[in-house]
Amino acid sequence: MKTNFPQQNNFTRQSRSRVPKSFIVVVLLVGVLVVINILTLGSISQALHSVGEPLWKSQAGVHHAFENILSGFRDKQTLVQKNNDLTEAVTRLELASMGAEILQQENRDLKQLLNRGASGEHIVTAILARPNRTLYDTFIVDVGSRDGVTVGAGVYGVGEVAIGTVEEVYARTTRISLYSTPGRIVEVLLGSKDGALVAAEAVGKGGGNFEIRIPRGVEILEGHPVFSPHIDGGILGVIEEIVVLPSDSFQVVLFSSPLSLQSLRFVTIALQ
Amino acid sequence: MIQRVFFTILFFLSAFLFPWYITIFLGIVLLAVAPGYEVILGGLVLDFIYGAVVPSFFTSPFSFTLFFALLYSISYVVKGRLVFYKDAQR
Repeated sequence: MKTNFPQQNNFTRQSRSRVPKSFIVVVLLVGVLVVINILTLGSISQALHSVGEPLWKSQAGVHHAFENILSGFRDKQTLVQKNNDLTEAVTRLELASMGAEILQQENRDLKQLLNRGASGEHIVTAILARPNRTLYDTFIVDVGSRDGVTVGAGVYGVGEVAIGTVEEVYARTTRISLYSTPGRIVEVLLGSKDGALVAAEAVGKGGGNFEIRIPRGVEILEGHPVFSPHIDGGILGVIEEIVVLPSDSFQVVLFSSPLSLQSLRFVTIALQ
Repeated sequence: MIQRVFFTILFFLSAFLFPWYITIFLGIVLLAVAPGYEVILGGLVLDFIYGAVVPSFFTSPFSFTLFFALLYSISYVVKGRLVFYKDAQR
């Protein structure tokens, strides 16, 4: 009996070892584009950001429109309950912010006395693309060099929570690198049990999470804030968990940003 | 051909609009329906838009370009060993 097997493709020993021409062309093209981008100080990135800006803005518009439509279908009882909860939360926060405002004013006055007052100027900006778009832990925001943003400027969320620094500035957009970028090392200060501040190095773990390794002798408490050591550096996060292993002379402090980076809509950038 | 154009457009749009895992999925689909060397350029687009120096990714701001180049190479070898791919589709 004769059986017809499907013909194998023309995959010969010769073609197996041959690198396709198209692949070589693409690799060369990639190399040329990278060199052009470096030599022209990011002109290709700038062009891609110009293409992306209207897309990101229209995507945000569609997202908000859907949110509004869906909110109409929510249960009335749930909305009343949520309204009550939010009213209560607003009252509580108003009371708390009164105390915070006094402390902030006092802090500013003291810095001015010491001649270390910061410029204090910040620009509010909307987030166009957030970390879930890539694994890089970067934000794209809708202000750029024409708004006075400069590379290295600090970026803050609500309540002066420090979230990152400006990595690249284009005409109308800016790329922000988060402090929590995997492997990024940040100097921090954390409060110990006896009230003293302890300097340490935090390593970014992505998505607003950090890790610190400090000697076990330092007594740290969960729930305490972690600060940036710079003037006007702000709060970086809150201690979530302390891992102590009997075999290790160090303890691992895990902390995360108090802000949810995925639901954040606006950030402020310090103008230098 | 229509499939290739459709998935190429979708792939490049996803680089701007969708999370990274959807872009990677569309890149794999594109590699399955066409030779798919466009995915390397797509990786470069992702890196040009979002790329930053990430110490955990070997300090390279071109991680997606390298990843898609590797993916393309793997798909080229795999397609060569499958009977239902003609040489033209590799």
